[in-house]
Amino acid sequence: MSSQTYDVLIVGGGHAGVEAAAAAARMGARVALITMHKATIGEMSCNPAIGGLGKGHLVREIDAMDGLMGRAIDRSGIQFRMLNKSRGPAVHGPRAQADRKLYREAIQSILDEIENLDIIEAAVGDLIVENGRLQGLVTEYGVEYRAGSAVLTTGTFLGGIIHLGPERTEAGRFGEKPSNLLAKRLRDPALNLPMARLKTGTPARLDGRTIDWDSLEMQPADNPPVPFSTMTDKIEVPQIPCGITRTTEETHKIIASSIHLSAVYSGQIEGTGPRYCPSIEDKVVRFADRLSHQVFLEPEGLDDPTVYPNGISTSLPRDVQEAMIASIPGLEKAEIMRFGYAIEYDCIDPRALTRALELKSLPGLFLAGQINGTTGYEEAAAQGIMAGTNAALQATGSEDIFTLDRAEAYTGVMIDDLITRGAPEPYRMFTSRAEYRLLLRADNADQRLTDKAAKIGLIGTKRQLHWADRKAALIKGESQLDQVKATPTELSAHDLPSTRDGRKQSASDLLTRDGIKIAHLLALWPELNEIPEALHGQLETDCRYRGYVRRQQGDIDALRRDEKLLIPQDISYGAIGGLSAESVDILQRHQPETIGQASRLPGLTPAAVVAVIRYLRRAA
Amino acid sequence: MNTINETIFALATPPGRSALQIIRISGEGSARLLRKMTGVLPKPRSAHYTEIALDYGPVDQALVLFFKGPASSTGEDMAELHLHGSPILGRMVMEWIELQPRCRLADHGEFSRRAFLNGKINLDQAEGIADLIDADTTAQHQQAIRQLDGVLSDATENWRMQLIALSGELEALIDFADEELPADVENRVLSGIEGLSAAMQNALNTASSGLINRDGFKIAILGRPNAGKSTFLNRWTGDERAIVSDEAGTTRDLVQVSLDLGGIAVHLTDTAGIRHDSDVGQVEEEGIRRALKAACDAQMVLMLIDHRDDDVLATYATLLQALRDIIPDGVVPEIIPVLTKADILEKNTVLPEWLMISAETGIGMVELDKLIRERISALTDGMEAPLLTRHRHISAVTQAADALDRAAMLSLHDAPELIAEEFRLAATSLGRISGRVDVEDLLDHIFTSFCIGK
Repeated sequence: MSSQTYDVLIVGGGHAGVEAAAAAARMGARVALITMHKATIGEMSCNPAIGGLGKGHLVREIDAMDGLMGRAIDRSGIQFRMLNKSRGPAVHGPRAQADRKLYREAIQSILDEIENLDIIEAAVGDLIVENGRLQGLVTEYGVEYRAGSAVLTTGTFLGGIIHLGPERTEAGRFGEKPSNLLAKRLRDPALNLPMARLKTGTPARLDGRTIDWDSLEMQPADNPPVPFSTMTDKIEVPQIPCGITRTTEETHKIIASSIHLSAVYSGQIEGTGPRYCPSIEDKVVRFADRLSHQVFLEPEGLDDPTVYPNGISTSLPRDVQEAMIASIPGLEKAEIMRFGYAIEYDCIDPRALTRALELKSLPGLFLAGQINGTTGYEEAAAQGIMAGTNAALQATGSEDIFTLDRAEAYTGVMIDDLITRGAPEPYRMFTSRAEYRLLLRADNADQRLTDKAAKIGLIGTKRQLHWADRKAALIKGESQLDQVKATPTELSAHDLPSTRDGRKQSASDLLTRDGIKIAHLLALWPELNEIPEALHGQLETDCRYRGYVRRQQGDIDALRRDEKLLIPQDISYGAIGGLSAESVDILQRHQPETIGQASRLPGLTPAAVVAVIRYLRRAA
Repeated sequence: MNTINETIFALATPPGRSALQIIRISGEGSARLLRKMTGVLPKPRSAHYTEIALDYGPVDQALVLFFKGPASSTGEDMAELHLHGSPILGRMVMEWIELQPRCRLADHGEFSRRAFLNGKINLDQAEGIADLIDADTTAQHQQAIRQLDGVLSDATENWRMQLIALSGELEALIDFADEELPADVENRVLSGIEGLSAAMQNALNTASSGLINRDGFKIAILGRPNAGKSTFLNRWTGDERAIVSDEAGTTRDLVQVSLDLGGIAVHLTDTAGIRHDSDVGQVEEEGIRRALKAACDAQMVLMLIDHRDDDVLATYATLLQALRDIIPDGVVPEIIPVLTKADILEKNTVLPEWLMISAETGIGMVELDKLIRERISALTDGMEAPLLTRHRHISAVTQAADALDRAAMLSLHDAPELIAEEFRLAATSLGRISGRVDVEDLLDHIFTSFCIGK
């Protein structure tokens, strides 16, 4: 039996795995990424798109921490669209459809450039646990890899079962075998991990050459496309439109009459599915009054005929899928290249994790992505970067952990939600989950995160230099906007709004008003021409929300104060006077790491939180 | 949760008339408040005698103190106002403070809680704080509130549900911009803001009419024409302000007299007699309308009935009904029925066991005076603490309604995120009374109302 040693092992080459591997490597750790197939590293298993509301924000945050996803989609996006463009900048959602092959290649080529990263093609089947800590992993063929820490990013592979009507196949993805040995190992009672089962689904893939495009409404890309990464100047990939069609009453009839054959409705699936990504059979059953549902026809690549019909994920039998698709306008003659299916997989209740995404009961083992109950590439990638960074910190002997709070990043909101509330259904990011949405914007991710990430060594040199320039320009622009002031008379002379009280107004004051942009102020203050146009949006948005953000600052200060109050992990809640049995139970089950986390635990009263604070003060 | 950087205040001395009363203020706004009220910021930890002026002018000469945090009992900046002991003065000052930005009445035990969190008091001193906070947040408290304030708390739960629905629809518009949402969602949000804000305003209007505010304690005298209302008023207050005559319906407008009754300002309103005969003139009709309005604005109604009335109980019932008819939410003021004209006791009819007076001769006046004082004192003393609680609720609802008003001025198309931010503030304020509005609640609403997801 051979044995090799690394600092950090990453299991899985999906969106969580690649970010974890690259982050750990940027931190200076010697990293091995273990995946079943090198060729599918960076694969988009489901929808060929990145971003959207909340998700696009995550991508910008990943980019601000020097992750891969933003750069990769900029090299592979074939239809960029900014959602909510007409609305306030805090709720702009960058989204892009990807050429799947280009995306995969972009990810793989970025990984190739990383020197301290090895990619190993193998399936992991066992954990090496010694002295209550993870010490390494063993492949299914018995090869041992020892490391200071490891990150599991198993996606849908852990105990994966695909359901297609009555057919039931053990698989991690279509045509790929699942990770059953590892699933069995994690279910070992000795590890005492809270395992759960979730499901998700995917639609059939169609041959675009057999779709009647001429009869369909087409949705164009934005012109010009706005990149995800601040490192990208311009999108070079050709932009193409996608088609829109709708299900018909006939479609719904076909589904309704075969509903008992759907794996979801026949009771064959035990896992919980996401409410916001329902299968077409769910839509037809739950919203029976709707006569039609939209279907987006998204090409999977520039030179790939595969089309992803977004909106009709299903686990109905093959013949029903064929009839259903033929009943949709434009798809009458469409050929199915691969049938839709539902997949069930194992995950671990994320309340078993620390803020660093490390298993509380098995130090050294970190988890990221679907194994933590989330869904979506962006959610997975954001966890990957955090888990990879913390795994590297631990393996290289640092005492630090790297965390983001709810007022810093969507990533922080997500991880806090996961570890305090768990994931009763697959967790997806929404902007409404963030209390400080006006602060956590897609446009200011670098202002929020890059310095903090740089401090612990997560940012490569190239981006550090790029950010230093950008930051200097932002600071200069901001102070210029504050400094230039004009009297009401001067403002009126330039057709700009003034106040009646006769007070002078700064450019920042004016920018808080609807419809005023820096471009409108250049005639009055020519010196503002020094501000690079690329920064206009970010500076304008800062002004727009400044008042609101100031108002929130009190809440944020209170939040941060509570986050700084750490609860030692050896605390004995039973010994705290004045705690009800119910409170003790909640606290023992969740083992919160900070008073802030404790205060957000469902069911815990403020009085209980005060009792814990009091106890901690006494102990101190 | 209440945030720590709000400035809190409370009366530190027992309510009621005394030589002095002390208002304590804690939080970063303490210095600003002192400066605004006195024009100066006194040297920390030294007493300073100064005029206290509110927006509408000077109200007292008082001793004030400033403590710079952390050298204060809560560890924050603090101020103390040593006012003269008039309860009305105290209320005026506290109400003014409450209107200042980021200032609110302290929760139970909040000074101690802050002191504890800032490491100013030790454990023994802090014992019991958890219980206090418990009482403020748990079912026990909720139940207490419900009893004290049924109307308001039923309404807040209803508003909470409405706000969840409203926020859910708005968040769906924001988060599912690329989904097919029903065309009327925008309209539902807009009309929802209006409806909810109007409902809150309405409730605030009726809720505050029950408050004993700086206008003092209000008593209305109600009765049929010539029941002896004005005679009683003149006798009791000792001056001749109300016109008295034998012709029924002399007092067509309201006559107000203010008295100092055991340290509480009492405003007595004499009203036109209530009758529903055919010969009621227009002027008199207006007088009757005002009489009933004055009665329902009051905290106490003296219902005067001539003991010679054909049917005393029927008259009482009619008057009560007239009052109920114009009070929308059923909160009827304290009513003291009084039989009048005891000096000309001529019939031997069976009368209810109410107080019987003669304002002419003074029969029963001492007893009635005592009864009124007792009832006022029971109402004010007994309600002092609940009133503060209730006051806090009113201010929470006011903040929520204000947030919705600001939301109504924003464009749903251009700035839904700012509307959502106002909703968040409204939900936080409302949450202080009726429990949190959680994001999961919004998502539940979204996923049950809309077919979301591709």
